[in-house]
Amino acid sequence: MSIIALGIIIAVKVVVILVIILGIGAYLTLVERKVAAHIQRRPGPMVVGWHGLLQPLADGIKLLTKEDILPSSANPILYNLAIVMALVPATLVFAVVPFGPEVHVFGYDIKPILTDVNIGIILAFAFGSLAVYGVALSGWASNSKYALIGALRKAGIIISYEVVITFAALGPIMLAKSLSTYDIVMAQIHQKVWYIFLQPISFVVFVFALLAETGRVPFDIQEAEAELVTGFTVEYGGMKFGLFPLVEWYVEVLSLSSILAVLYLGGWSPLNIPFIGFVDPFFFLGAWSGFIWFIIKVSILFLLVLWLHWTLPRYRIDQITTVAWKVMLPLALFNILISAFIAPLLRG
Amino acid sequence: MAYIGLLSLLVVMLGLSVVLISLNWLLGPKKKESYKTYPYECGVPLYDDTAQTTFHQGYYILGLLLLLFDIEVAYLFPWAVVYSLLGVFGFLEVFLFLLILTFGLVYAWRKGALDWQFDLESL
Amino acid sequence: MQATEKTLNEIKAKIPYVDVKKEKLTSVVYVQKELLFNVLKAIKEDFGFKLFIDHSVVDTLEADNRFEAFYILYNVDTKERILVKTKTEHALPSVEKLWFAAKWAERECYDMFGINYEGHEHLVRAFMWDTYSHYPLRKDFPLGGYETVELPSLNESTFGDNLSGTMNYKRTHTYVPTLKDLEYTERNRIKKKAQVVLNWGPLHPGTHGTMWFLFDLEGERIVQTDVILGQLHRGVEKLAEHEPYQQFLVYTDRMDYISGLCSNQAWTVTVERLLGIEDMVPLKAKYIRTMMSELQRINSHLLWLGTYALDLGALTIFLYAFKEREKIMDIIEGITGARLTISYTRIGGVRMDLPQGALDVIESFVKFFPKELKDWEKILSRNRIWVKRNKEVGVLTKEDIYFYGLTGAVARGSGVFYDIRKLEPYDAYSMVDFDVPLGENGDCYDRYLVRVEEMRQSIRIIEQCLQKLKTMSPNEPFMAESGDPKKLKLTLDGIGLKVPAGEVYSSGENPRGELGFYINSKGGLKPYRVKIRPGSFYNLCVYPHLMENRYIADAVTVLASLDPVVGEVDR
Repeated sequence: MSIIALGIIIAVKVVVILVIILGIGAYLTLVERKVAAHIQRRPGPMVVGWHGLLQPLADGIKLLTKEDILPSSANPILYNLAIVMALVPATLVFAVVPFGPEVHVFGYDIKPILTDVNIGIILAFAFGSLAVYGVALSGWASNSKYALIGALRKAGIIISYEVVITFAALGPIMLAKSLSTYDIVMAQIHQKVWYIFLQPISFVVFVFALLAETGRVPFDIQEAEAELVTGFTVEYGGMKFGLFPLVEWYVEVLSLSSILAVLYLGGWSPLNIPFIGFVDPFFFLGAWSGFIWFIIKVSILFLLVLWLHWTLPRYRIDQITTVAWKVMLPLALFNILISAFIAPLLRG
Repeated sequence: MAYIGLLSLLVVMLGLSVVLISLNWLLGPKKKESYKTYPYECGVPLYDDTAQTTFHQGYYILGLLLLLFDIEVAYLFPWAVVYSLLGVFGFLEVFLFLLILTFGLVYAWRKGALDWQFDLESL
Repeated sequence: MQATEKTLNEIKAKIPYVDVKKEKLTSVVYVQKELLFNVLKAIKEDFGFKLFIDHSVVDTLEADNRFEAFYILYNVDTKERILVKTKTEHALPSVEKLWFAAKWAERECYDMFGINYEGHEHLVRAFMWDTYSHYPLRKDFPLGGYETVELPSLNESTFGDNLSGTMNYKRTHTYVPTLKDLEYTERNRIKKKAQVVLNWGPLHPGTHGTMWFLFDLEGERIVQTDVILGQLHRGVEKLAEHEPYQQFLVYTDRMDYISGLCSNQAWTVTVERLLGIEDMVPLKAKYIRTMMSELQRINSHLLWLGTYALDLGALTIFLYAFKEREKIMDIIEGITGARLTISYTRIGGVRMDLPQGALDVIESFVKFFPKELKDWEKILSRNRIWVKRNKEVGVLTKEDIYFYGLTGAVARGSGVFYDIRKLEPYDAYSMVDFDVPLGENGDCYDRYLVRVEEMRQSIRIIEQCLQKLKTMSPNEPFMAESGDPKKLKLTLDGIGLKVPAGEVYSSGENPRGELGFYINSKGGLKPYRVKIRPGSFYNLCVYPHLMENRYIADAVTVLASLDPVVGEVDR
């Protein structure tokens, strides 16, 4: 492939990811507000645009035009660095997410994945682990007791669930015999089974860890307004404040849901009947139906997360870490044991 | 070669975050008022001058545990990939490794390091 | 009811150096201040008057022993109330070892009257800031305070001397605390023992109002805590000495602003008892007052449930509860004309009769509400997370209830049968049938269940009142008519109502606890001293004890289950 073609392909992929983060991420705020409103028996944003469709734009402009206050006792460098440390790693996870099967466009075979390397999953978890820096730095740099307590709590939860999530992900990796995200999906397609059917324990543990890492109820003591008044973001204003929930609640949920879909739900594969085959109502679209299925799976996971958020109360901090180390980690280890017996039975 | 995409995304995202922050700084109003930058402590004077004092060692213990278990899982990644080719020997060897580390987890559990902010007296 | 002759005679027999007297409305034990502690101890332990109701001081302006202090105690088993009085010039022994609630009551008396309590562990001001130099409730302190400070307002600083037209206000104002005063207060209130002291302060969305907590933290564990009150102190008791009895009614709404009608009812019943006209109030007025009060109780408990769930993270229940509250407030607005500050009752009855159609609306609400309540209980009561957050948190034993003077749902959650509606019935409560739910363990979960069940019992009371009111004709009187207008003038506006000399303590069962009024009247249009016994104030005094060695996360749960309202705490 010529350099120019390569450059254009990479540029298109980068633009797609940017659109996802900024565009869809911002519109997910509207989806959340609408879903929350309908659960609470009220209409939600209706004024700005038809049924509130321009609301995220209005919110973005509002946040950009708010005053940028630096607290008098904060460290300016760390204070600003924390946002960069929060935003950048969370979005880099999208670099290893396969959005669909290989397609033929203009005579080129393109895999819709930005970085198709054979250690994709490790990269994904590595970038996820960097998320704790944004939290911890912002709490320390703000030099306010509320920020520090909230940040340390959040950091404690994130590192506890880091361990859990990586142990849980070992299960599908053993079944797929590869660390590349593209190959894991191909393995599920060749073996004709979604790994959720073979690894239900690991799936549940992963979902818990997803909720905890992204700070969603029932694990969102970070946003517990009644206790800590927005925790580590209390000294931030304007767009800096807006970026934290955008990254935490939307971008990270999307990225971890994508990894979840890749590991357990077969990525872009259509509906699966275990060990028999696939049923695809969108067959007429050819290879492009994979994209639709991927979007459907991630959307369902996101709606599930929203549903839990607006219904359940939240756990206390010591209960969250206790659950992580004493329940989830033994379950994940037990799951590795079971997978060790199942894995040699699968071919391919 | 395959990392070009990742690097370009990294550069773009770094630029984007800097742009967003500077845009906020440019577009926002700038009015100096006396107590606007006072740290938030619910509207009353601070009791301690700075929040960057000592903090509880329970957080540090969690960090240590993370370090141990993350390195454990880092060793397990290659094993997981080639597991099917290793046969019974691979299974037994690694499970011995996991068992020893599980004993470590049980030790931490019994000592109370997994409870949030344990009391020093319980050690 | 007040203690019987028999009990008073037993007390006199056991402790010969006191004087006992049974007045018309109170039973009093007079004691000298040196022997006060031992007498109170004997009355508490030997005679069973374990529950601390109130303590305060009356400034009698007599030549010697100017202050008359009184302690109100209650015996839950025999349902008797006793008043212990003593006189002092400027100091009293502290009884905080007998009841912790007395510690806070004594702080308040020190703040308001300047009485020094010997043996008090940490005598600081209750409402005013620690560098304040006056004692507001003394009779020589003027109602408007001492206006000594020039505090320029925005207009004055902008226009300088060119103020014109309506901007001709006084330049001097009463003293306002500066940040230095606040800092001194907070450092005096708590001495740091652990790592940091966190201000869980007045401007915080989680503290149910402007209460200022100080947490001494070790990591996330609270080592000691204290409360600074007074951010919403409006001097209601001082104002009461300058208002006729009927006009004081509007202040009672604004104390516990969430359950205004219940406070109104408590004040009205107190004055009616002092006048002796409880039997003259027409039956219709009694049923209307009971029904409106129970509606207000459901209203208040819905707000409690909504904010409790909101604080714990179940954000949806907040909106469901407020939707039901809107319905109730529409009903109340249709009947009384106001949603929040209602002032519907009058001394002798109510302000106006129920409008046409009110009974049908209330009936349809009563039919629809229990189903809603059951739906919400499905989300919360058996939810694993909810149970884990609330069980074993903030446990109060029966002894704690007596020691801290707790009343209301907090007391019932621990199994103490203390409900003023059953023990000292007023209005139509003796004529309707209802149960009082009691908890077993005294933790937050039990208090939650008790309050939810109370809502159901309120529905039951409303149904019975509805049945009775439907049988009454619209022409029945809703306001008592005085037989002799020259001696007792009962009108809707209450102007000219003279109350004979005497004193009374009477209380009503507010949703938040027992709201009691002690009125000391020397005859005439205005009372001499009104002491308001707020349920929330004494319910809050157990908070430092409950929060020792717990995490900050429990701070919200415990506070929400105690359900304080700052208007009542600070008055």
